[in-house]
Amino acid sequence: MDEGGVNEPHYSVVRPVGRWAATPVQAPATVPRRIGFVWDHVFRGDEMFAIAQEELSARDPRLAFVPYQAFGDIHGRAAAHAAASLPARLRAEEVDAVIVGVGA
Amino acid sequence: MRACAIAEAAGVRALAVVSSGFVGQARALARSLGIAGVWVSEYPGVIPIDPSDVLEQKVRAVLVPSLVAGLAARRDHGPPARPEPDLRSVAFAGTLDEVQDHFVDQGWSDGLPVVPPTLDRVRRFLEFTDRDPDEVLGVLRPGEREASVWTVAANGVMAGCRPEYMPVLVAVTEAVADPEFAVEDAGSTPGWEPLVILSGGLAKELGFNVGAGVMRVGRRANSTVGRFVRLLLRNVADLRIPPGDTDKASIGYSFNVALAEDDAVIDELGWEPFRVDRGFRRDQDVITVQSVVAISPPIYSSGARALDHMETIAYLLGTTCGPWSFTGVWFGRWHPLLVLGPAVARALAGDGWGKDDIRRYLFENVVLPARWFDRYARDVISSDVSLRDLVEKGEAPRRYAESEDPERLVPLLLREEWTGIVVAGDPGRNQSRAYINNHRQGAPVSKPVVLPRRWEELRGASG
Repeated sequence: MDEGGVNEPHYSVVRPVGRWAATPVQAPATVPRRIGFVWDHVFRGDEMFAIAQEELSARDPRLAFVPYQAFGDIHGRAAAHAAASLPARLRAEEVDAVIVGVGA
Repeated sequence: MRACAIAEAAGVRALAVVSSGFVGQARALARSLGIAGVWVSEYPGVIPIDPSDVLEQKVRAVLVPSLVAGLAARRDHGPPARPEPDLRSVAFAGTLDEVQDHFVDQGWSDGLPVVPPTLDRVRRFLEFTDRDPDEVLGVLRPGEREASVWTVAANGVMAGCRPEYMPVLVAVTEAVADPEFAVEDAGSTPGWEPLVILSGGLAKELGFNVGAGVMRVGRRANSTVGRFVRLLLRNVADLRIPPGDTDKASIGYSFNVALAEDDAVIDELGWEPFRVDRGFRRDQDVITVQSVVAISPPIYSSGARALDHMETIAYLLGTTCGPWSFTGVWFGRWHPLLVLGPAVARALAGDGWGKDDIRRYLFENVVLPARWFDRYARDVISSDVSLRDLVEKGEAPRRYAESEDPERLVPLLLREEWTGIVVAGDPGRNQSRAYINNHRQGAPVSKPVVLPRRWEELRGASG
């Protein structure tokens, strides 16, 4: 039996990946003045955010900050609620940028 | 990154903070979520390893300058999304070896040889379902891709399934796509693996193994249905280990073969089958999919008394859960699965025990010193999440903080009814095994298997 060469079958195959279903979004490129911290309550984000706020304030004293407590825990058992309520909380706190962490 | 996507959609610029090993994942997730232009700032290193002074130095010297740059950056939409090709179009044509190489290059292969998903093979699978091939069973995160009936068939072909497994594959996909399953967390660092459990007469009809070696590769039905799930996660949920970026299992382990329940022993014992435990009728065929993050050693138990068996089972199930159980308390979900060997099940039943008795005993007797819960939270997530904190927040029952004694024994199981019991395995041996799920990630989801109207005719034709 010919194990290769011209008699070898060819296969026309389809792709196994599903169709991409997301819609691209992007917030406007405003200069941030009021920054919120959104934390998943892991990996020492509280420590990092405190240091970052201190450093950012030193660089620009006009910046205002909203602490992570305002936005709920986006990872814990109430993560779904935190995610669902996040847009309203962002509006209520009038932030124009968020620093989200920590992925690790 | 999902929080970043929510913020961006709400018109608020988002910046992500991730540690070094997760930058690739963050960017891949950003593309999938449609926020490719989101700024990702890197914390250099492995956060749980760094002492506080090192963390502070890195934040000041590296992270903050990156955040400053990100806050000032002009927005970049990222590369334009490529148009999605027609699923029915030929993606590639070549020899068997060329197909394998192409699929590996595209990231579509799990590294094992795949059965080429030709149009003809996919269509044969579609004959075994009445569902429309374009019906979308769900969108699987984190890839944000549609799990259509067509795509299920293509991956079923690749896995080496037989066409008549298609109704099972559809039910499996429905379970994985259910929000309760949380497939978006299937790439988390614990490296959990989905487990498919089939309960019903269909297991015998399709040739699933329920006896010796039930969880071992070797029988086509069990092996290929298990493999299918991993291909589904790769090609629809977009979860890929390196050279991909999105599956961050630190170590992980291989796919689980599908587990099938031994209906004959269940009937003999007069116990309810797993599908009835899950809320379905005895005459149905039911798929359950849940995560497995840890597997016990073989649990050998002996004697005619139920308590002799249960003491051993409880101890080994409990030590397998170990300190990781803190995640169950933290997230409020914990679903261990006990695969009970038939001989052990017969001994328990002979002593008058049923599944409820087994669950109750485990709930009351699987315990661990409290200090392990508190300590492990720090090891895993670098945060001081104590049992007392959880009790005071109303997130854990009061029994977890009845004293301050770190050696006080606290329960590992949250609810009696959350322990699954499936009878399977070698009837000639006194062995059971425990499979521990990963808290709310991969919580068990059950779906009925729906056969096509022409099932008997199709089965007759397929032989």
